[in-house]
Amino acid sequence: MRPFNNILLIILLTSHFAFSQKKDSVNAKAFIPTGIRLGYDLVSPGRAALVNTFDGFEASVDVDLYRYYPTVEIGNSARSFASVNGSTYTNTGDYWRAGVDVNFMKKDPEKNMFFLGARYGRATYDEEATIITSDPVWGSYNQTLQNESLTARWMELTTGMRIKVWKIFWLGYTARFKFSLKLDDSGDLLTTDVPGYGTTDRPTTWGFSYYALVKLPIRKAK
Amino acid sequence: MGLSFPAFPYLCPLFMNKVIKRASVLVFCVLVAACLEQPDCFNLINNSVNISYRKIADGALDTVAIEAVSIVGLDSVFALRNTGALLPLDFTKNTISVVLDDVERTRLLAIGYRVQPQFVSEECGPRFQLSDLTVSSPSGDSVRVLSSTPGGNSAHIGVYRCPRNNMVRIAFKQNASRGVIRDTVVVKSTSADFQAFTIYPSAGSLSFMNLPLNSNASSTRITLQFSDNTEAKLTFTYNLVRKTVYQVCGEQTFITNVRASADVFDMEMVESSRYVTDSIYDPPKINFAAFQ
Repeated sequence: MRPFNNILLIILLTSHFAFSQKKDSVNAKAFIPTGIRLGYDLVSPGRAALVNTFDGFEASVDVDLYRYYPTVEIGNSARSFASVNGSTYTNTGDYWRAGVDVNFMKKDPEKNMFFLGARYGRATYDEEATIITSDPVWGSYNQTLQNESLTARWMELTTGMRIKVWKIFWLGYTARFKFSLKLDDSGDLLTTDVPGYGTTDRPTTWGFSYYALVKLPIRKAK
Repeated sequence: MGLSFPAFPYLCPLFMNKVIKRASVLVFCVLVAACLEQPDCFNLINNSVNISYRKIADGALDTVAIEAVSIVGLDSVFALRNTGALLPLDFTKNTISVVLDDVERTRLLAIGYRVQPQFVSEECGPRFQLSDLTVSSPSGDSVRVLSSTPGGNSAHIGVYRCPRNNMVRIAFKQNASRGVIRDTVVVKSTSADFQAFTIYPSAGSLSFMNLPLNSNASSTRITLQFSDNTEAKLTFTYNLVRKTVYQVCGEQTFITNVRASADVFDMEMVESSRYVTDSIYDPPKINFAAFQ
């Protein structure tokens, strides 16, 4: 039930904005983008500085088609873990997500956003683990296993804000509810972490990105 | 102008307050949820496999007197039940060989499986996921994988035995003023005129017994010794028929047209519209009522 509770939370928090605005007509020009917005995730370098098990970056690009924002996010991630018993795990890989955000602050003249959206994510990664353990019945186990060019895919529900700070500079965050992870588990080693998704020990997980963005104008917004 | 969530003079202040308040709650919930999502350090190996004895006729669990269960190359004792055994699989290899010793025979099982390690966390270390169970029997027994993923309480491997076609069941009865009622006896020992196993509780009274008939002869004599040191001699006569019912079991001997007599009991064939009472079934059905 937990994933559905999480979805319900997101829907409840955003439903107010979805239904509190009057219906109005939209002319075709509203669907011509006013600009291309490029973003760089500040969480990833912060995380890499604070946590020595992570390294990576994430960037995003979106355009405004009236209240709809087709979005692509790309990133790279590397994880490195070592357990107290000597086992280790490393992975490195690239990922992308594509989807649409729907802005519920559609009357805002600056096109600030409070949005709800969805993503399809896909990652390609390599991983290696040295597994060390000992068992009272079966003895010791020490093997190094590798998986190369694995792929994984998943879905996300997103919510967040984009706020114009000054001229072309924007800030914003995206909170992600990630679910429906599909892994390639044909290798000798089971995946611990998927770049862009996170650890695989649970069927759903959360993510958070905080972007510094630049909007390159195409036309002037009315 | 701040770098977090600045106020916007061009928006309704009340509306923005709501936005910021709800967004803050959402972000807080996300961060708390992220902190709570640490992996659990239990169930790190799903390597238990449940081997159960089953009847080939209906797949139901069978009760077997198991004497020993061992894994080739390992000197350990494992949990035994009268319907099977619970064994650990060797997660450092992909196969184990199991020897099942029961009162009827010794059965060999070759169990194969897939082992995939996974690094769980810095605290937990690795775990091992076992899957894709396979089983074969070098001793020629009928075996089948019931659930291909080890672990948990489900039955994973079934060892199917061919029908026992020689167990006649007698129920102890007595006549009373209100009709025929159940009677009980306390059996001290049994003997037959051929080498056979008769399994019955070593303590307590019995209202019925399964008795073995000799499949190599057309009659069997069985002696029951009761707790008061009295004896009852039972004689069964029957016809033998050879036929193949289950391919894996080959041609077997079936017993029909059973007749019974006894020196102490008055043996009466029971009446049933559900089965043929002078034939032998597995599991046994009541063939005769023994009146004292």
